[in-house]
Amino acid sequence: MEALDPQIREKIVKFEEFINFKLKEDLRILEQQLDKKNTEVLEFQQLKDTIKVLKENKMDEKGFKTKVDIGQNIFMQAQVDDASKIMLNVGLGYYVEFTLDEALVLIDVRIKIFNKQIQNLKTEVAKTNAHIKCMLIGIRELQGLDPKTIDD
Amino acid sequence: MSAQDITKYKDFLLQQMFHKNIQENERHIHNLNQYIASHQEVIKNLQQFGNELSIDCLVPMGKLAFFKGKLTHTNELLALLGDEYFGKYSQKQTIELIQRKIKRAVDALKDFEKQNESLKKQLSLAAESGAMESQGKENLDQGARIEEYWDEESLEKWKAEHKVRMQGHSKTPQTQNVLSDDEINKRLDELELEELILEGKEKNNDNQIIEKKVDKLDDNEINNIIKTDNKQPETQGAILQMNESILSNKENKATIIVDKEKKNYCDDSYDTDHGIKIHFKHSSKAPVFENNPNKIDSPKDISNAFSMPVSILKKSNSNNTSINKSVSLPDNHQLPDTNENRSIYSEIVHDIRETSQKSENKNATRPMSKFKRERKNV
Repeated sequence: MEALDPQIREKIVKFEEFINFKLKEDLRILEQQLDKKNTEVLEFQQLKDTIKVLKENKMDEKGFKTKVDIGQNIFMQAQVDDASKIMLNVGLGYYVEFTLDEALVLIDVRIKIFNKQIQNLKTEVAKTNAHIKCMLIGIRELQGLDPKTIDD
Repeated sequence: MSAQDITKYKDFLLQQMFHKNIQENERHIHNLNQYIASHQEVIKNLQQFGNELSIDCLVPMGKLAFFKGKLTHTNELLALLGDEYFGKYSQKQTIELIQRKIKRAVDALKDFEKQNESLKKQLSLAAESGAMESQGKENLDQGARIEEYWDEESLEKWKAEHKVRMQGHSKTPQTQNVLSDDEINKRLDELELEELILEGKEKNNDNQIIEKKVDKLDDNEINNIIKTDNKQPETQGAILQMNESILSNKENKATIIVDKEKKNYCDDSYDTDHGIKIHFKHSSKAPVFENNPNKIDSPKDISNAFSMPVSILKKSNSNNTSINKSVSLPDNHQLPDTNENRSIYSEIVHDIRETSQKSENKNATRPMSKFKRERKNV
């Protein structure tokens, strides 16, 4: 490599540090958030499916039997007599009792919100990726160009 | 990278390994404790459930929802046996199963704790003895852990090298080159001749001493005697200083002369030749433990000042004394590699250790004088 202006070299180092310590870190955090949201959507989707199955089989009226984990993979039989009401987690550990139809509506809304959030996160990820790309192009230009032609 | 750096790095790695193991063990212990606690919780719950026919509860639906329901068939349980297989158990059987699990966990916990304890002990022991921080402690010989690895080949090589080193030391500390047999014989002849000449001169001096009683000698005459006695120019300064101390302290006079004579001609035959009887006694001066080689206050200092250039003819003699010393203090030695300007003493100690290790095979454990060895070989 040709001998570069020390100022430019310093700049390149700064850019690289910014990419590695800021942008890539941001990307990592964003991906974590995206993962979390995706799992939540999945859980809501599953719950929705269960409720649908319950309704299809008219279990909300008859009630149903199930196995409950009482800890360390030991299951005990449980009987649900009244399956028309369901307690839903509305956040921060609070549960509200809904009928199954209400629950379905709520779950749909939640899934929509989550999908939007996921969209936002995805654009954020794309932006960060683009920034990294831009920085890399910029660094390449700094290295390739004659230092005299560059004005700050 | 210097040898010091390497040992430092090794210590660092070792320490890191210990810490890593301890940390890992602590993690295991923590997990096991949690495992035991949660199983005990299950037992408690089971005992409670067993008291009643049915219990109201919230039946979970996924992670996000519950149904209101109740637990039925409280004496009928499905327990995971592993690998997706479940067994149907009664409440009592389940509790027994869980207790077996807890027992196994407790055993494992004990093992981990024992291991951790021993690891910590090792670490603290190493830190105490200085093996972990050899740079921090200057005296390597104070309880430092000394490890040497060897095999037959390296041992033989070391022995050969050691022999060469010992030969170098037996002459003067400066001459490192090895002399051939012829050269050694030649040198031996020279030295014998020299000794004969010295003995001749000595007798003249002895006559002077015999003429007058030792304790009535004038200081000047003592000076003369000492000066004519003195065949070693490098000790002149020390002798002059010694004379001053003689002037100041008449008590030391006899002892000083004796010391001087002893240092120069330590042959047993010497005393019998001229028939002087010298009585040794402790000087009245209080012992001073100062390491100033140029200053002479007591007979001990003189001995120190003159003990440096020892005639090689007396080697076997001095060897024996230092061997006795070293046998009583076996821990007080240093590794040859760690000390650049090692003393003959430590060399001898190594030699002794070496031979004592091999003594099962070989009878000759007693170190022989070089000259005796030479004569035997010839």
